[in-house]
Amino acid sequence: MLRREWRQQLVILALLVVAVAATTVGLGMVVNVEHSDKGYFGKANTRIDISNPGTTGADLAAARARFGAVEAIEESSIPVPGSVTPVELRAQDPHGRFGSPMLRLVSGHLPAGADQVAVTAEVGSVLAVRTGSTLQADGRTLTVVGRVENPNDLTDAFALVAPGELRAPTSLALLLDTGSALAGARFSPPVGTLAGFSSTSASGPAQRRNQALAVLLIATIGLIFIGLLAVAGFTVLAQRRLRSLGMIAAIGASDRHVRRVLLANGAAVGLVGAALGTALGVLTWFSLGPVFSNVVGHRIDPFSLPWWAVIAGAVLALITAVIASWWPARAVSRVPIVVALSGRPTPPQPVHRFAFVGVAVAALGFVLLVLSHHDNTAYIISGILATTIGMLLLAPLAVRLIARLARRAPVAIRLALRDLARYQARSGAAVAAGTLAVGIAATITIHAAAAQHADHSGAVGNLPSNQMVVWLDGNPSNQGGPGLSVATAAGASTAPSAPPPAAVASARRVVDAISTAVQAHRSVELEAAIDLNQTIPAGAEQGNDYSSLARPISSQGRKGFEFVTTPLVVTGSVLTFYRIPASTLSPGADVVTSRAGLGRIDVNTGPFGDFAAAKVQVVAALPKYTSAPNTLLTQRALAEFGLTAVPAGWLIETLHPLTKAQLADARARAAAAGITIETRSAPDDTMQQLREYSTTIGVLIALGVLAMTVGLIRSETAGDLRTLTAAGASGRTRRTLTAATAGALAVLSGVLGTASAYLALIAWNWHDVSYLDSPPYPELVALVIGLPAVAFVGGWVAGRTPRKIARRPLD
Amino acid sequence: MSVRHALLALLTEGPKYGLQLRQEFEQRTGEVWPLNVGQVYTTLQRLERDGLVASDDDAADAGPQKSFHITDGGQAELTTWLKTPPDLSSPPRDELVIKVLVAIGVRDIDVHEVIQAHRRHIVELMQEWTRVKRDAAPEDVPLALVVDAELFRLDSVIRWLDTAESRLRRAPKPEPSLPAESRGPGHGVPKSTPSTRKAGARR
Amino acid sequence: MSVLELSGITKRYGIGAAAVDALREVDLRVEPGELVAIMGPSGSGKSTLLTIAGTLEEPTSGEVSVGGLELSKLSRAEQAQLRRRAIGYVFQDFNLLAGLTAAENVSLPLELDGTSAKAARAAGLEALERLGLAGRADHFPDQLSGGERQRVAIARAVVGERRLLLADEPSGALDSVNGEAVMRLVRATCQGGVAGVVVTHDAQLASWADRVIFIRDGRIVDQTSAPDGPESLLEVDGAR
Repeated sequence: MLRREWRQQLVILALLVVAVAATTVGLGMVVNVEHSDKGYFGKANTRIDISNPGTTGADLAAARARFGAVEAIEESSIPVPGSVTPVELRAQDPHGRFGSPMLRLVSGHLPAGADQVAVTAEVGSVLAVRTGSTLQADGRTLTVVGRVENPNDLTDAFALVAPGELRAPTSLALLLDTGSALAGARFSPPVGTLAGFSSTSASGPAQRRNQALAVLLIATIGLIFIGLLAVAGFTVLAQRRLRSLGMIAAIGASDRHVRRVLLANGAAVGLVGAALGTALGVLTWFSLGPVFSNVVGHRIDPFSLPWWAVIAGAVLALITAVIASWWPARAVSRVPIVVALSGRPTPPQPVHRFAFVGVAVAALGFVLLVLSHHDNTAYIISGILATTIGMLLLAPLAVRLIARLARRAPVAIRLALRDLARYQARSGAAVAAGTLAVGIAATITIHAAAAQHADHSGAVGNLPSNQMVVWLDGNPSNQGGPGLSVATAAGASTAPSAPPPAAVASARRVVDAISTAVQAHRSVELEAAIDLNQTIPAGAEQGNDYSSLARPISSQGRKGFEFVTTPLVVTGSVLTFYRIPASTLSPGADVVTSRAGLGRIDVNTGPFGDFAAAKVQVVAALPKYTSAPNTLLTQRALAEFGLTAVPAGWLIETLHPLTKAQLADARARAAAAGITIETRSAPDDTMQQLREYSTTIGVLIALGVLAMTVGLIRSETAGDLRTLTAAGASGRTRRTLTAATAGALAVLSGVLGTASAYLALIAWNWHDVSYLDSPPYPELVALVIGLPAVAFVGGWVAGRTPRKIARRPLD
Repeated sequence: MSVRHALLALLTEGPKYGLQLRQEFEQRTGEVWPLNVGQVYTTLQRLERDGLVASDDDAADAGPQKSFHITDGGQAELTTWLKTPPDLSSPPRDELVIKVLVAIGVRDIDVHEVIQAHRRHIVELMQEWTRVKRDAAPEDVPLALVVDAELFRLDSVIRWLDTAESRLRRAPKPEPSLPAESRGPGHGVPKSTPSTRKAGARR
Repeated sequence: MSVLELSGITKRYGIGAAAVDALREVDLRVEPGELVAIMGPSGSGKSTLLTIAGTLEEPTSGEVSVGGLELSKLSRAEQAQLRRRAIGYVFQDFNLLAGLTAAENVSLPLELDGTSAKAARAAGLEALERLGLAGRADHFPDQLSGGERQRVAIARAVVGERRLLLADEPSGALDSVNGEAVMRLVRATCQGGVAGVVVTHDAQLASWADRVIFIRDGRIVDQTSAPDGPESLLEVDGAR
């Protein structure tokens, strides 16, 4: 009996291996996904940032006198030709007492002496240097001697010189250990100004607890996954076994004989599955390590797996396999032998009870998650568990539902769906397993999208990754936003002038060339306002001559203005670009902005001009990125304040995020023409990558699970195939049958998985559900529509005609 | 079929004339066994002689109008007969069995062909019986029962022929010169008795 | 024209020394309205004969034609179409699809052939009604008795415009009264002009046929002659 089933046994073994391996890899990921703050603090618990420390070292000396051991990181910047974003240059001790976790040599050697520098990969590509080449920085020529990285923050881009070798540091970071967090805050540097203070003490334990929680969650869900797959696999065998076991019982085998045989079988499959699965999982994890490092943005230690959880998963695989294989034996001892012998499919059990329990348990899980407030561990675990189990209990009901919906479908599809409904034990378990795979992927991807969206809508980010702005101004000191500086002739007062038409025309040509090179989807010319009538006094500092917005402030009885932003100008093309109908703008508004809560705003016509109160209209359709045209002066304001609109730059948008090669090319073109480009300064593609990875992996695992369970289910209906063939079914019909089975299971998995992910996330973010306002549509479509489509096509391809349909299947 | 006991059984329903008895007999046996009037009267006379029936009319020459009723002795005889198993223990001499046995020993005769000839003949008979059953009215249960009895009897012969054939196939090739009585194992051993008995169980 | 015509059919399984001939040079013609029984012991090749006639298997050599169409000249799709439209098949068991109701099982060939679901159901119900199963149309196979299941299978085999009915031990698992009922149905179907082939080892079932063909070791060895009227039987027996 067992020998005949080797094919099925193999599939079950494969299911177990996949489940155990996926759980192992998942555990590795959650342990390592959390971004540690060692990339910022090193081993210190406090970091003090000081700007303009000078070269005397007085600030460091003062800090040492106050706190004892203090490590200094001196910083300045290297301008990047053609870009508004400079590169950070650091002088830091690679073996420093606190800072050593922030530095790692990748290749070459560490800088030593006055004329050596090492760079990160990112800086290497931005500055177009490699080991052996030279670069101009800090007022001298440095030779690149190696490649370094911040292993705890791979997005950290910098050039490194030996400690103390920075001639003109513009800022200073002090790393130190202090017992009292407040002590650091009260430190006042004698030379520089205190720019920032931060401490790890608050986040450390919380982070560790979060990590433990995540491990526990993934372990729990992974274990359910393993158990489900084992149950799904062995349930398929059960019906066939029931008959064989009935026969064995009929010839006089005692229940104990039967049980012993099945237990041995289950144990063997479970043991091999657990061992192979763990091995495969660990190997996969090791090989995924480098890729995963890039996704999470820090180097990971492949051995940092939560071994106890991995072992628990393997043990559970064994136990579940034993229990699941023993089940039919138990069924035989309960079912009259005659019934077992008949091998007649038992009519489906009513599922309403299941469904009711499922809804109740899922609701309980939801409530527990809401009540957990992110910090009650017991509530979180039981909440996630209850939500998962609740959704899984709904799987049979969903199967029934879809079978009922299929009443009017063509006969092959109807038959496939009826079979699913009839053999609920197996199809339910298959859907449950698929749901879990999709659910985990959906949770990660939805969460990542929400985080990404929150990132965009917040203050962080100058531009999205698929846009760049070419500014007419060639001054790299303008770190973002428009800037027009007029070279003031010494000793003579002057009036600002519009950019010379020749310069504008030449810049436009560069913009066109860049647009072509990056395959721009669309672009728009940006204009800024300038007061051509103002007088700039002789000897004035070179600065921004555009009109700006300022907020009146008063401090210690004195009134003044605080710079808010340099607005661009409302033009027809800008409105078209953002699809804003002109009619939605209020005719009385001076300023339109996406920034709510600007408060009272004055228009400052120029650095030496007047201030006048402006009427502000908030237009949500305008972009929120700081360097995109988020705040605009209306034509009315131009007329009102006597301003002139002049070309300031061009916004170029591509369909896909700009690549590093495209950026380097654009920078080079801009630098050659004496203008600058601005692109997204904070790397944001890790969340995107995480989304894509998790969706892909989720889809792959779900597909694997489905393929195997569909194979099992259809192999059990080989007799039906013979009947169908005799009734005149063509190969097409038989293919449709398999494809419909796979497609239906995939649809259910996709929908239930996504639904449960949303359920859990809504509960988790109950205090602010709007956090989930931006669903990752492409990924959701991939899970809910793409997965079934792939499953359907796969079923179609795999459901080809068996060669010997006329032969009866061996029993 | 014992006409004697069949008539006794019909008389348990009440006194009947001879002619009436003949009609009812034929009707209840699906008209498969035609009975002539003489047979009925001869049997009735014997029954009367044995005291199992009595005539209501003493006139010996009353002929067809003579009515008979069953006596207590007749009732007892009928009951005893119904419960007595037919004699199945001693193998009857069956022509078919003898023919097959003989065919085994005859030179230039393929015993399988002999068996097939008999089989075909019997299947043809069964086809005819089946046609009778097919054409009969569905409510004619007695006819169906009688035909079934015939079919089962013939079927058992077919089964014996099938068994004989496969037994002959499996047995080692016999020396054709040996007489039938000294066949090797596989013939005449007790195991084959049930088939033989089945085939000969009819009377 | 014969509905089914087999000429020189040989079917060989395996190759070389392990080759077994399940059928050797079999010729058979079945006319419309004729019911032919094929009798033989297990392993005589009778089921193979049926699967070949039903296009479920291809002969090693020889030609099969159903309704005048030579099967070797038909594509797989055309053979499937033939099975849907012209051939009805009744197996001993594994007859019905457990996932479909009785009516759906019966109308399956029509639905597969593209008949609208409504028309197919109507035809299915009609076939069930003829077999006295109108009340069981929406029951699933596991809710039917063995006899009912076999009747549903026959209803499926005769639904629509069938010309050839193939049955493999159609009353195999049934008691003799139920078996007889099944054979009556097969018989009645053939009287409507369908050619029937029943494969069996049971003489009682075979005796329902117009012609009984005896098969041994893949060869047709004998067949019954044309029947006499039932009267002859009574005379024979009456003389005893």
